[in-house]
Amino acid sequence: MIKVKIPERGWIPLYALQILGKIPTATKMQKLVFLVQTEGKIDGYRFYKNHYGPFSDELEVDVRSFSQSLGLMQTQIVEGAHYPYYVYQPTHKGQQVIGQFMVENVPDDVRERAESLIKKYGSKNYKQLLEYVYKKYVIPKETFEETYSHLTDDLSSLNSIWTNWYRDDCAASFLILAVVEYCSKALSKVKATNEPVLQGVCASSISELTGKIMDLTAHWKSPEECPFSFKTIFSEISDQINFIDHFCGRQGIIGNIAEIDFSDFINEEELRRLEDVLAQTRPSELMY
Amino acid sequence: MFFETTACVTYAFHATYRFAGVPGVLKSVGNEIVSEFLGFCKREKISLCITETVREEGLSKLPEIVNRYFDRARIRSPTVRESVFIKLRTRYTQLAALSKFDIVESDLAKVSALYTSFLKNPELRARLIKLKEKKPTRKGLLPSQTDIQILGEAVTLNLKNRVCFVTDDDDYIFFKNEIKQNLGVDIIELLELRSFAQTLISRHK
Repeated sequence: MIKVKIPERGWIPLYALQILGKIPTATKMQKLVFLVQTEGKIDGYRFYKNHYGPFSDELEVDVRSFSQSLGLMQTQIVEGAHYPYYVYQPTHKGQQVIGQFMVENVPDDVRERAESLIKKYGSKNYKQLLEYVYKKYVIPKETFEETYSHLTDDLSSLNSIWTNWYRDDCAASFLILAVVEYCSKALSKVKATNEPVLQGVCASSISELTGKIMDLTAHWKSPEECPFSFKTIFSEISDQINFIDHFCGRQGIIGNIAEIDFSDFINEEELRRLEDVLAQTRPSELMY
Repeated sequence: MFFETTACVTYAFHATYRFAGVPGVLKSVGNEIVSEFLGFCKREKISLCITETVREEGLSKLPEIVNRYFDRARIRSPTVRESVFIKLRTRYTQLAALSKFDIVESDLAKVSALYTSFLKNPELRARLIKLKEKKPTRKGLLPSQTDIQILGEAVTLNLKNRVCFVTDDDDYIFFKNEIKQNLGVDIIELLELRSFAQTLISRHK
């Protein structure tokens, strides 16, 4: 019999993994556990719902511990269409431990409620889950103005910091500045729509992404070097970027990043300058 | 055909866009030439080789090349940069997927010895000095370890198949005769691919 001590709340993500076999993306893990707890009336992780979420630091820490220290799950970074993302799978040991834990600690009615919700939401991808959560649980119309004002301040601060830290060979600064500019533009466009649901979903998803970038920024102290390895930073924030990109594109708020209309961001003269530079300079001249 | 990093990156530099609803294409010098040549290779069933080293080097360099173009054009917008970068990266990975070879052993020692020998020859040394002036971040006179590794991979492949090394990198182009003479690998300059394809066609006839 394997004896591994896990926190009381830890059965929820492990049980979800046991039922689903694997969970692609950190975002799906977060939102799935949130929905199981909220709709199943099950105690567990604390989720922050306002400026940053719904997101649980405790769940993030447990997932790391289950993966890196206890060997109960495997975490892989997989290359996505645009950005890499995390995939979680239970290990053999993890399956044994959760089976035993459920029998000893989780009442049948709680297990049944959780199982039914895991099956219900487990078949949806993270973008569908995000949209569902944001629509149902976050940011009522009355608080949009306040959230909007906080967000524009946060994005403006991030823009100043990362413009200062920009280096042409630092992929992190390049990505973060792009995300900040894109989100600012999306927010201003969605504000003009006066559509509460669109405003709520956009503001919530941009809040969550901004919160993550604020965290990463606050923990970075040396602007001389590129702060994060390419894969790590992408995996940390890629789910949110993909969601915002996908949602804004689908709702016609602003094209997704790969398909934006350049005229939203640069003028005609700038476009001509870019074409000229490309026509005069070989890529190899810039690879030193 | 062994595609070196600069050739792959040049192929990748082709991005469609819309400006006020009107479509357009951004492409770099040499892009059409490489694209045409790849079409030629496909038609003539000529195998492509893009090794893991080339794939990784190009992917890691793409963001900075995009940034440098935009910086030269004095355009700030990071979103437009990211948009272009996403398209180039997709094109680059699609190209890499066409390769018949992947991980190749590199004859590093042979290539390192050749470049080191250039230091003792005043004329060749002068060429290395000229190269260093063109590449401001280079610390010594010799090419980077990655450049040596990539040519070493071509040398290994050349033992079994005739390898033509397609490149726009002066580290190789400046020494194309020496490389052919000592390592047996043909260096094909990217901007001469059209005439090279013509030569292949006429030989075939």
